[in-house]
Amino acid sequence: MIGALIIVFREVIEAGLIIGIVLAATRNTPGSRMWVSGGVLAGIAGSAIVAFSMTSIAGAFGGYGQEVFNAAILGTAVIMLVWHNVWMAGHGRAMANDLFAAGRDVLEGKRPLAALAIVVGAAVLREGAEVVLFLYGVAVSDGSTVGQMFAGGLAGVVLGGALSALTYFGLVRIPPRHLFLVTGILIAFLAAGMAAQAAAQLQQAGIVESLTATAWNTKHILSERSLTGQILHTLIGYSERPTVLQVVAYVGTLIAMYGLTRWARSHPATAHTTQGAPAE
Amino acid sequence: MTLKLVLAAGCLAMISLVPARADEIATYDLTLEGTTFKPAELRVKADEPFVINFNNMNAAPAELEAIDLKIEKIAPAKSTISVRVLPADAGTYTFVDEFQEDVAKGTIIAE
Repeated sequence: MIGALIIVFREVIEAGLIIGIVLAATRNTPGSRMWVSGGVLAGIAGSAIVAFSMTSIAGAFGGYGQEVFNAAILGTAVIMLVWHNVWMAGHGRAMANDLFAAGRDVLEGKRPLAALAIVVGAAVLREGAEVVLFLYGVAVSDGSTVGQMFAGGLAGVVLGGALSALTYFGLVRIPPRHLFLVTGILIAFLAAGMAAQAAAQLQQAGIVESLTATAWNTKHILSERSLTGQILHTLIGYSERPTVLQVVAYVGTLIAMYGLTRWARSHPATAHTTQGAPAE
Repeated sequence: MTLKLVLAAGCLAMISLVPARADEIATYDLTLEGTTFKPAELRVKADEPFVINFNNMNAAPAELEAIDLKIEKIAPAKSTISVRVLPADAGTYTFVDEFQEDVAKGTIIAE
């Protein structure tokens, strides 16, 4: 039972952290809970579909369908995270002043929510499929421990939910003025870490064959397998043995994120979205 | 028209590249039956990329995982998958079926 708990918990850590961060980042946006829940539910439904299409996914792209699929999901999440931060940089002031509470601006204010809902869905989908397959494997095996394994698996999911809550309540203790900055930075590192993972997947599929040399090996200092290592892996993209391409993707994403948000800040929200905002 | 041709040619080139390269790469077979890997000790050449053809004979899905080699791939029930592995330093690496990692273990020896 403990074994099942550990396996499932390890899979849900990433989604758990991401959901907590997204909830905190969208705390003051009306309807954000609904969007995030929608993302989670869509992710779970998608997990089941992916899990039971695994045979055809695995067979696609010359046997490297899983890698291509993972890279596509990660790439989508990275784009959504970058876009969210850039959008917030351009509209942040209007958001903070609750100017999206009225009129057609509500619709405009929903766009970053939709992006983050996709990120949440992608996070749940990627690891969720493994949980579904694991629990399915337990169910079809005929050991006497099936009930216990299931209980362990469910406990792992519940722990993942607790981790979401812990992340959320930890973050919302930060004063609202700083919360925006903190979640923005967290999202930038999340995106960089995901870009690095996507790069690794493309290398494993043999689609990218350059820059495969190991950049460093810090396994003996901090194993990616340890709880700390895994949390850092999700939060800042820690990898114990990244390839050079992974480092390039990581740094490139951070630079792109920084450059684009700076640009957005110096070109704040268009007239359309700042209508009615007091001039400053 | 020309653009379409170029795109089509590009797509064909990409598709044909993947299997072509796979042929040149050293390939090793690995089978999982129940909780037993065959061979339990897989000897590979160090410092060269290689491919593992992993055959999961079980009725349940398996996930071949060797964190130190960045291997982490699901094999559906009763199926064979290919896993590309980046060049490994000489040494011994543990792999498991993550879904039954306490009992289904093996080692890769790169030399």
